[in-house]
This record gives sequence, C-alpha cells and structure tokens, in this order.
Amino acid sequence: MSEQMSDLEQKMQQQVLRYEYVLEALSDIGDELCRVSSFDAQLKSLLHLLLGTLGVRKGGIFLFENYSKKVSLRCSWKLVHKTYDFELDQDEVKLLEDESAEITHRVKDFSHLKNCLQDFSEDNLDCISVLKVREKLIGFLVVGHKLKEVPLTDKEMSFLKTLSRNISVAINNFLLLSELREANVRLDEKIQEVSILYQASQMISSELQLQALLDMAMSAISEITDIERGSTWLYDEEHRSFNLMSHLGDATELPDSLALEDSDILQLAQERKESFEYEQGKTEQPAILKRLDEKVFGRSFVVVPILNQGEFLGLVHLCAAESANGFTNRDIRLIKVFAVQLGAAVKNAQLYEQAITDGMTKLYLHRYFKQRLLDEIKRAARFKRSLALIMVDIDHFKCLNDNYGHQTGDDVLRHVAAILRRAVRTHDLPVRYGGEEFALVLPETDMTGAVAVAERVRRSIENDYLEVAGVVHKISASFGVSVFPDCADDMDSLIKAADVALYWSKEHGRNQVTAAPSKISREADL
Amino acid sequence: MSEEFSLTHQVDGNVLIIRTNGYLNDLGAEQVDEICSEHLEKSINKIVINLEQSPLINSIGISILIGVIEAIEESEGALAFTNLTPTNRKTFEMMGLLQFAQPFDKEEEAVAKFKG
Repeated sequence: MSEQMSDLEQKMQQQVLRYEYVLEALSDIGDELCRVSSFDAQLKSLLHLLLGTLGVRKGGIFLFENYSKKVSLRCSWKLVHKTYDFELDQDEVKLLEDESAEITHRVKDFSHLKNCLQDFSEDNLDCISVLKVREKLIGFLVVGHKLKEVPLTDKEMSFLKTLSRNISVAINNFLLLSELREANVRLDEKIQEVSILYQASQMISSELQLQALLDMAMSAISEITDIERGSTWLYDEEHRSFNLMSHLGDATELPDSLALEDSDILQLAQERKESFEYEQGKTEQPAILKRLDEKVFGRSFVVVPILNQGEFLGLVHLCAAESANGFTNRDIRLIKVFAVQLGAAVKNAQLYEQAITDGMTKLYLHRYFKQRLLDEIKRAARFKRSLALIMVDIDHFKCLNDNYGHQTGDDVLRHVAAILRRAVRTHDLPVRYGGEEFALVLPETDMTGAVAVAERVRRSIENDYLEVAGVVHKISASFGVSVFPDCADDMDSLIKAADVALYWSKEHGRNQVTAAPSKISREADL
Repeated sequence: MSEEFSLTHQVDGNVLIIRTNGYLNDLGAEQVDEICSEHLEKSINKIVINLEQSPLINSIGISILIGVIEAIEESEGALAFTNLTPTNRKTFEMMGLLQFAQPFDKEEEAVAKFKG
C-alpha cells in the first residue's frame, strides 16, 4: 500500500514538474516578447521554446498574409523544406478563422492544407495548430513527433494548444509592432523630405534675379540628391531655343544656347511637359539619343520640365553621381516637387524682369535704375567704397533717325545696348536711361576703373558697325563719368555730375570719355 | 540575455567533448547542434557534453539537445551529459532525454566510459 502511495506521489510530483516546466516556457514567451531583436530571431526562439517544452524533434511556423492570401514557411527546425509557399482560398480562410473551430489537431485528422502537409509527409508531422487572434488567421504551427517517433499525449496536445495561443498573440504583437515601426520610418522619411524641400524652396522663393535664381536652384538640387552634372535651361519662345542658365559639374560640352529643332530631348521635354529618364543600356528609351543630345546631356540622365500653370518655361537636366548608381524614385519625386516650386519662382522672376527691363534693349528701365542706384549709394557709403556712374549718349542719333527711319534707330539702340550688356560684370547695372541715352552703374569702382570701362565700351562701339537694309552705319557715343563719393554726396548730384561730364564730351567733339571733376578740385577752382 | 553563450570543443580519440559556457536558453545554443553535426559527418559519433558552466537550461536548450540526440541516434552513436545541476537533471529526466543519454557526474568518467 505504502509503495503504491509513493508511486502515486512520484507520479504527482512528475506532473507538478511538468506543469512547472510548461509555466516556465510561458514565462519565457513573455520574456521573448519584451526582447529587442529581429522578428525572425524572435520567431525562431518561440519555435524552439515550443519544441523544447513538448520534447518534440522538429517543427515550423507558417505565416499567413491576408492581402495576398499567401502562406509561407517563415521559420523551421529540422524540416525537409526550408522554404515553402502556398495560397489559401477565401472559403478556406473563413473556415479556419471560425471561432468555434478547434485550434490544435493531429495532422492525420486535419482536413485542410492537404497538399502542403503531403509535401511534408517525409517529416512525419504529428500535430498542427492554427494560429489566430480574435478570428484573424495568423498562420500555422506544425510539430513532429517526440524522440523515437512517439506521438504527443493528450495532455501534451493541450499544452500545445495553450502555447499556440500564446505564440499567436506574440506573433500578432510583433506584426503590429513592425507595421508601426515601418509606418514610423516612412513618416520620418517624409518629414525629412519635406524639410529638404522646404529649405530648397525657401532658397529660391525670394530670389527675383533669374540668373541668381537658377544658380541657386542648381545648388539646391545638389542638396536634394547626389548629382554629378546638371544644367538648367530656359525656353525662349520667340527664338524657339533654350538658353543655358546654370550648370553643375563638367560644362565643356554645354553651348550657351540650343535650338529647339536641333535637339530631340528638348522637343520631347517641350511637347510632353513631363519628366523622363534616360538610362544607358536600358532597352526602352523615350527617344533615340542623337549625338548632339548625348554630348550635351550625357547617356544617363533625367529631364524635369520647369512649368508654371501649364506653361513650359524650361527644364532641369541632371546626371546622377556615379557613386549613387542612378536616381531613386524618391530622388525623382523630390526633384519634381522642387521643379514645381522652381516654376513659380522662375515665372515670378521673369515677370519682375519684364517689369524692370526695357523690352527692346533688354536693359533696365529708368525707374529701376533710380531705385538700384539709391541702394548702391547707401551700400557704398556704409562700406566706405566707391561707386561709378557712366552716362552714355549715342552721337548724331537724331540725325540717323530722321534720315533712315525709326526702324534703323531702333536697330542702333539694340546694337549699342548689346555692346553695353557684354561690357558689364555680374553686379554692374546697364540701364536705358531714356531716348538714346544709356547709363552704367558700376559698384566697387573708382574713377580710374570707370574711365577704363567707358573707354573700352567707347572703342567697341567705334570699331563696330551696323548694317541695316544694305546700308552700313558707323556709330559712336559720348561718355560722362562720375564717382561716389569723390564727385558727389548723393544720387541727384552724382547723376548731374555725370550728365555735365557727358555734355562736355558732346560739346568738345563727341566720341570721347569725360571724367567729372572731384569735389576737391571743384572747390579749388572756386 | 545577460551573458553570451559560447562553447569550446575538443576531440579525444573517437570522442567529441563539448564544454558549454553560459545559459542554454537562446539561439546561441544552436552552436551545439552545429558542432555535433560536423563531427557526426566525420564519423565521430561519441559525444560528451559538459554542462558545468550552463546552470540554466530552458526549453530552447532542451529543443536543441533533442535535435542532437536524434542525430546521434541516427548515426548509432552515444551521448553523455556531465556535471548536470540537480534542476537540470530533473528536467532532462522528465523530458525523457536521459533515456537516450547517460548522465555522469564528471567529464572524465564519461570520456573513459566511451573510450573503454
């Protein structure tokens, strides 16, 4: 009797130990949930926890993807197949998700996934558990026999059920968490993109000078993405050509201007008003790349149009840095968004330029000249620098106009304006002062420098000629130069000093440069 | 886990001796399986696993040891565990591991038995 009791006691003790062991496994699953590691590593730990708790030799976890209805073996231990995929149909999913359906089955009694289980027949699987949380199918868990092909006992089947439920919850948590993480990463990327764009747009939004604007745009794009070479072109509708505005990287093959009809790439951009991509070696290209286009744009590049409310203004052309291995979709998306901002900024700058420049001579207008000259004088005064003003008047213009007509007069004005435009530096300001009178504002220039510039321009005009309707016209101009603060203290007296000097040139034989006297010499004269 | 699992191994005649270091409770324990498979392929099928430095073995560890047992059974070899803590011994017994692997108090005893 006592022996029997001790037998029973021993059995009970064994039972208690077994339960304790299962409890430990449950607590380990809890620990696993709190660990920071990859999803696959956690799945593998869960599988081992389960196999070790049941004393089973092999097993695997299949995961179900709801949108594709695909089931794939995500993690396995000692199974014949390391990877395995199959699809479930909607009805089967419904049956499996049914709340009342049992979770754990003997493989031989399980009526679903016949084909799949057939493919694993070599593993002699013992049990299968349907992993689900709140009627949502997550996947399956299969386990083999214990050592010596001994099947699980009914008690162990119920352990399997309990553990499966816990594993379902754990996997579901992982999945939700990783979805959340992915969403967070995407959100971070978006925030980063928006901030890059914001910075880039801010750079360009307040710039009204076209040249400066497109220079900035080029460098802003190089902030957005890694580019090796790039250029911006503005479309000149009147001449049906594109003018090179700014570029980055090697520019040896870049012409200042490209005729629309010479370039398929330009035509494509202008017709489509959409961005397109060339990639060397790709079979499908938007058009055949001609030699000229290849020389200008390269073999692999992206073209993004600069548009404003549907109006085609120009384009941005970019070659990805070799190290970057082409543009990503993100790069192209960002550049496109940036190009939209650029379109508005270019239009603004163009409108502004139209407002301040004379349509015929492309020189700045009198109104703008006054405003800029005032600014420049203030700046020169603040930094104690000098500033020169050159007034120019075409000699015998009235006579020319009267004898040959207004058309010739206009041509002469355009001709002289072009010479002036070529003569100036970036920060100089060429102005159509009125009638046949022009002005040049030269910041950071003293009398010696200004007279040299005036003399150079005078010679250029003198040495050039203009042919209108078969008649060759030799042109000359007279110049007056004044300098702030040497000759005058304010704008009006500066203009007046230059005017007086110009008048002196006119009075003393024309086609010459006269420097206004300095304040000191004037005082001495008095 | 607090400490990384590691192991050292040594072949003494036809016996492979594996000494584990650290808890057998995470995937690091798969190393035991790998080392055993490697040697079983070379027909070294008598294996002694010294668990002195692995006081804690959970079900992950058990699952891996079951895999080892299975492989040794298939190649008709023999397995011994040594230096088991009382708790681990109870667990091994309960999970039926000791039906397939003999426990020894000391590593030398097991090696001597396999060599002799």
